[in-house]
Amino acid sequence: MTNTTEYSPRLTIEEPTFRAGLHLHASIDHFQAAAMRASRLDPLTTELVRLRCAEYHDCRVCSSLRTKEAVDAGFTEEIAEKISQYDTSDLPVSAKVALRFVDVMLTRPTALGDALSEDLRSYYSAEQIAELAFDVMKWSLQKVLVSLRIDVPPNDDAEVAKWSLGLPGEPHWVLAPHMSQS
Amino acid sequence: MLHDPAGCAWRSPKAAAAGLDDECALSVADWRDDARLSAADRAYLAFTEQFVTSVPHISPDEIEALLEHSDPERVYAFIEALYLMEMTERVDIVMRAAL
Repeated sequence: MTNTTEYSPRLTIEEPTFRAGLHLHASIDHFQAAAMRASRLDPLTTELVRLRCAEYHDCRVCSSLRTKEAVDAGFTEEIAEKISQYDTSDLPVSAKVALRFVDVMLTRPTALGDALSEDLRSYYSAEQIAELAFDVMKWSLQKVLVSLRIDVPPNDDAEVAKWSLGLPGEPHWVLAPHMSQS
Repeated sequence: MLHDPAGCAWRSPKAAAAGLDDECALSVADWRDDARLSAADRAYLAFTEQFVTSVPHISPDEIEALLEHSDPERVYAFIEALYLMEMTERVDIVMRAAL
């Protein structure tokens, strides 16, 4: 959604990963694992939410990865390209509702009004709505990396492995096609 | 910043014990003009404002300002804690409305 020309790391972290934090990483790991284990939502919706967060936060790592679970369920690059203009795309209404929820939560959460709440409840159960919210929180952890510009994207499978947390429920990561071609 | 009355009304017991009174807490909204705040306070508040509104637009200068008052490990820990506080509040707000 937004870009900056300044991508140089601003802090020296020995091994920048999603668990680079030193003080809170145990608590965050428990939360991440719980969020990723949740499976009331289908992998396609989860991937749309994850990539919308990546776009909003301008996270180069998240944008460079796809989950194998989503790809196996039919997620394509054609679908990925629709995320930035999702409201005028031909994505299903349920996906658009989920993405509107992401946008409201990341911009002004108090603006979540009756109309969107009703849409959410029409397409998703209470458990799925809760999972959507926790997915947005989990896939906003990259804000820490982006703020310091230590979100250096992987270029090959070995570097992809570096970003794996090894947590229960974590999806299997694959490199996005546009990264494999570069 | 998230316009949440419940969040604004809450006070951390640790911060209160460390001397954060209501007057000081309420002055945060006008932090740029509040002479009671130190340079370190301003650096952390400036970073917080940018982190919450648009993280890709945080500048290297804003990180440098934090590093003038803390070592890299504490800066990283602060950012991680900020993420947790911000996103927990966002979850609270949307869940109250949506469920």
